[in-house]
Amino acid sequence: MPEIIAAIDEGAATTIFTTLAAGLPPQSSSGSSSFGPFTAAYAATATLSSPGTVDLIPPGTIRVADLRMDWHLHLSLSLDIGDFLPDIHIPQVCVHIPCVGDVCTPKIDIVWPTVTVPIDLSDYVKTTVDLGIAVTLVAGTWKVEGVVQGVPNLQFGLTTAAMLAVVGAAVAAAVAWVPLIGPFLAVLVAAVVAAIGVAGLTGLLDPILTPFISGTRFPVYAQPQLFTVLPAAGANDPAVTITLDTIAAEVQHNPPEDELVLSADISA
Amino acid sequence: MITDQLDSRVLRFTDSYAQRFMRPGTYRYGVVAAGAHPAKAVPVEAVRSLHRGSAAAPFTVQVEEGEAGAMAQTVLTVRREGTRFVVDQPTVRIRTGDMVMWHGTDASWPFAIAGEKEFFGSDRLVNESGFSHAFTAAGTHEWGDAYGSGLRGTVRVRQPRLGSAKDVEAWQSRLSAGTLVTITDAVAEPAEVDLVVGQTVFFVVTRGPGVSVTDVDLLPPTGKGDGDEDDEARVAAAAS
Repeated sequence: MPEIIAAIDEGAATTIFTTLAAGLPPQSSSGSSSFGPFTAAYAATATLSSPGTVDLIPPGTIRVADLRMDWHLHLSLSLDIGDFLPDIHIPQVCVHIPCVGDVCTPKIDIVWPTVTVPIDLSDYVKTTVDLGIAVTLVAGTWKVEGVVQGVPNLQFGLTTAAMLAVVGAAVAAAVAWVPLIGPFLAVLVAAVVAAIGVAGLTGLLDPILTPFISGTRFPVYAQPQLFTVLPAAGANDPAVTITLDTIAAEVQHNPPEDELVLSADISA
Repeated sequence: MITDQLDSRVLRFTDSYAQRFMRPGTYRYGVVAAGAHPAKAVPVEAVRSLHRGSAAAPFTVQVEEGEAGAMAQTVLTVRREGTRFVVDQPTVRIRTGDMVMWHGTDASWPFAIAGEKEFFGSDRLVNESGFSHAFTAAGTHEWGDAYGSGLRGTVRVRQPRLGSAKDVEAWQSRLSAGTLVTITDAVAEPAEVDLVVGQTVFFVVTRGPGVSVTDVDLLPPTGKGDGDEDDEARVAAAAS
């Protein structure tokens, strides 16, 4: 029989997880990833903004529904315009100058450049995750954490079409300076967006954003193994300390509630 | 949004500068970087040093007496080598009345042709010179003279409809049709021109004190050129 037992119901758990989510710092990552047929360098940041509601499921699952994460992704896409547009040239142009003769300008070849397209995408994802309960003793401190299990299925706030529109606008802005691009701008944007496509977007976003949630640890409880319960009151009245020998955590069904129950064995 | 700049003082790969040589002689010139600042599009000091006979004028046009007849044209290509500009033919030999045309190949390095003689330089177009520009973006170019002659004009450039390969083909075929604007005594004829993107205008100066063809947005606020106090004297010299 454990000496100390504490329990929280689902309502309290939701309150606690709301506080925990607000206290988690923003996460970031960077690298490069395939973006449709392209490779794009990226830098991503994500912040858990709302844990939604908590459902305690015996014997060891904390299900968090509607977990919301706000994210921002900055991409640098290298785009070779020549991959999408045909070779174009301005031909030799001749004009006749009265009393002088014909004057001809040289042919001008348009070399489509490779441009860097900065793309900023911001949105949120919602997902439902199952947390397992992990109890560890690390460096003299007991920790009880909820750890996200498995790979969540992300639901984006914006539609994929809206995100592709953002990509298209970024491409259009990045190439506006290119000589003679005007007549081809719509064609180029459509071709690039089509090349990236829905698969390219999800293929990019899922592997970048999923790790921000997958494996996330929510610190439910932390307590030094050795702690003072009564401070010293004088030379002949030393402090009283106890040792937490073991801590266990599980979800129990205690009608009518499901509860997260922490139990501890102690020794003086 | 116009991303195309019209400025005869700053030659880009869509531009060319042409000069006829009416008298025999040796005409030395250099190619200098241009376009660092709209109000001082050409590094005037560099041009002046060339005018003083500096060794920075490594290229030559040799003009021999020729018989009157059809004008011949020589096209020279300017390209960048390291920090310098070079011309594909450092020395060309022509006959009087012939025309030499310079154009660049590098979109990133605008330049100017700076000759030792007053009449010979792309920064300021005088008698028997010309400037061409291929318009690469839709929009309206109101242009004027950076040297304050009052010369004005307008080029309206519209976007072609390129919905199909046939449209592209038709558009490309239209690009070989050039438009001539003649500048005489600071008056442009025609003063207004309508084009589609990709078409070229050749501005030819038949007579004038020395002008530029410059987007009005690039003109100095006073409309009096770059503030060079030698401008008046130079205009007078060119006119004489």
